[in-house]
Amino acid sequence: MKCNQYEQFELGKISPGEFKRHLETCIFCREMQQQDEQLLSTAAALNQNRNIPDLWPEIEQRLKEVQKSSTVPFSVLQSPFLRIAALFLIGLSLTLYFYSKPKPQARPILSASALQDVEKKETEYISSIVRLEKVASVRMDDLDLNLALLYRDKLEIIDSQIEKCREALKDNPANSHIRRYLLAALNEKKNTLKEILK
Amino acid sequence: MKMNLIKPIAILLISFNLVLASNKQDSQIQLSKTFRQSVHSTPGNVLHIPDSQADISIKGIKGNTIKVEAAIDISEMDEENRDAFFAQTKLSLVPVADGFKINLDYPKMKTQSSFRFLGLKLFAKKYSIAIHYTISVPDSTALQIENEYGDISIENVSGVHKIRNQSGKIALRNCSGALDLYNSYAAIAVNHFNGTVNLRSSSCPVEMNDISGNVIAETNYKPIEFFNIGGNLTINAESSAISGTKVDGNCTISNSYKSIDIREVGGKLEIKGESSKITAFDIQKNASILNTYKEVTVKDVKGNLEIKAESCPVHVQNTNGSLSIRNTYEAVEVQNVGAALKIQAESCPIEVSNIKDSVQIQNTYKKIELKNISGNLKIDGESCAVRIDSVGGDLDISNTYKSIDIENTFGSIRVNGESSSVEISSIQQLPPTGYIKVFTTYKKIMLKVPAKTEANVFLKSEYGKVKSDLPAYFDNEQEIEKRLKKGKPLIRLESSGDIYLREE
Repeated sequence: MKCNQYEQFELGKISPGEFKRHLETCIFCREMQQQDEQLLSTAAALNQNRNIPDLWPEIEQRLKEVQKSSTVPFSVLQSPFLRIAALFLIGLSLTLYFYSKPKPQARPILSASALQDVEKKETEYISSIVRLEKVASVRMDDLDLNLALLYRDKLEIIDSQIEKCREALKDNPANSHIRRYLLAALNEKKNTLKEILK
Repeated sequence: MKMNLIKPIAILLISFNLVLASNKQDSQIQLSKTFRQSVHSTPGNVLHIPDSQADISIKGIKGNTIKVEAAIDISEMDEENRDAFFAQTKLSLVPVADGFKINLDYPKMKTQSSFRFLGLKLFAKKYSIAIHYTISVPDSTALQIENEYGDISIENVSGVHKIRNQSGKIALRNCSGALDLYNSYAAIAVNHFNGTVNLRSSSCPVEMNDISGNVIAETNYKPIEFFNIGGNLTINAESSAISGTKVDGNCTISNSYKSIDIREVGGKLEIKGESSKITAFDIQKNASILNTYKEVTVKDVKGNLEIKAESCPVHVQNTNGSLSIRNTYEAVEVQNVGAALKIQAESCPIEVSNIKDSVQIQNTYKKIELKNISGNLKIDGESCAVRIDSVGGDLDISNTYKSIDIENTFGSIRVNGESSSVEISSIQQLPPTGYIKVFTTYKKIMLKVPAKTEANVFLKSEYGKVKSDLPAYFDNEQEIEKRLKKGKPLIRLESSGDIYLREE
């Protein structure tokens, strides 16, 4: 069985202070929070100028790394008694978890708060593409005709892909597979526009 | 001390409670449920998966049963909606004329209430769903799949497969029969396929390995890689980097802007590129290459080779058959040709060596350097510096303005220059019925012949000096024919500049 405290916290049913205390003992919630933080930080990085072929593999890789490198913050426990208690708690909690819940896997559905933030970042990302598009359209006029036609065709294909993903997301907004392909298409559009500006 | 005890006890209690609380079912959590169905099938049946949005894994197994597992994940949903959702969801395997069809019916509700207050549902929101099919089929089952936004993997299934996907990877491994595949925007990998493959895609990286039959592949903007195609390979691409090794049959490729690198073709090779860097090695039959602006490198062609290029640096090595090259403005380098060579160039620096048959070259403005030509040589140059070392057959050269240097010849020589200085030396052999005829204007002619050469020599200079180590005639053309001594070669040098005939 899963710990539900993270969702409770996201729904505002428990206070940040209480959830913070809970995090010290709950590996599951820590992983959930780290996964979402990683997802959001990667989405935030979309606005940066980077040459990467596909953002989603990186997101997945980071999520995997987070899953692998979950550590218990022993350093915050100063007193020896606290350390013993914490050790006991962690041991007990771990035992319960290993019996009660499956290993966390890459989720096919995004959590509500992660989805909200990813959508926000996507919007920012799209607005930066629109700015880039304006500059690139001027540059397109100077290109060799065949090359310009090729870039136009490529951009049309990417736009069509973005549109298809958006349509699919209307009915299935938190589906991470569709979200991943939307991100890939946005990333490719950005790279193509940058290629035109070179 | 009291404080020291209270803290850990409090933490202990809270944490313990929280852990216990985690066992309770939450009212707003993500959930998954797996549905299962199976049916008795027979070899050769078709399994249809129509209109799905799912990850699909299919494995062929021994036996006659089709088993389907559909794992469904849904987004955060309250207990009431969730129960209703799963209660109304139904997986079935429906018999159709040629086999079975997978039907997954689930409520198509667009929204669900996410929050209740005083019995009222507030803040209605959309839910999301993700489906994963795990399917096992008899290993002789044809697959017909129409899917989008999901990855498809298929293993060990034999049949006539028709797969359509969009925005999801397709991977086939150890399958056979015939494959008709379309995908967009996600990778395609076909490994170990015994049969023919027809693959169309848009913006899909494609990987094809160990395919026994003919392959037709179409994509754009993303790379295509292949290895070991047993039949013919046809690739129609646009702006896709193409690379691969080993095609047993013919290989036909069209592409633009991105590189093409092909190695080990058992049949014919035909490449149509546009601004594509082209590399082709080890072709067993004829090859033809069309390209613009980017480098063309070809090595080890057993048949004939034809290259039609525009502004492409061209490098060719080791062709058994004839070689024909057309190019402009960029260098042409050719080594080791087993048959005739023909180059039609415009402003191309040309370097040629080791040609076993005749050579014919047309060029302007740039140098022509030739070495070890076994057959006849014909050059039609305009303002080209010409340098020739060792020609087994006859030479026929016309040129303007730039120098012509010839060494180590075995046949007759005809040079028609206009303002070109001409120097011929190290003549290895001049056949008794052969000739050396050199005409130029304003520039000198220097001919060095082997010592004790016996020939009919006619020399004429309009304004320059004439010096000869051999006895010579200075008559006009009408007289020359009368004075020819039969059985001796003819040497005739004519220029408005100086003429030197020397013994070496």
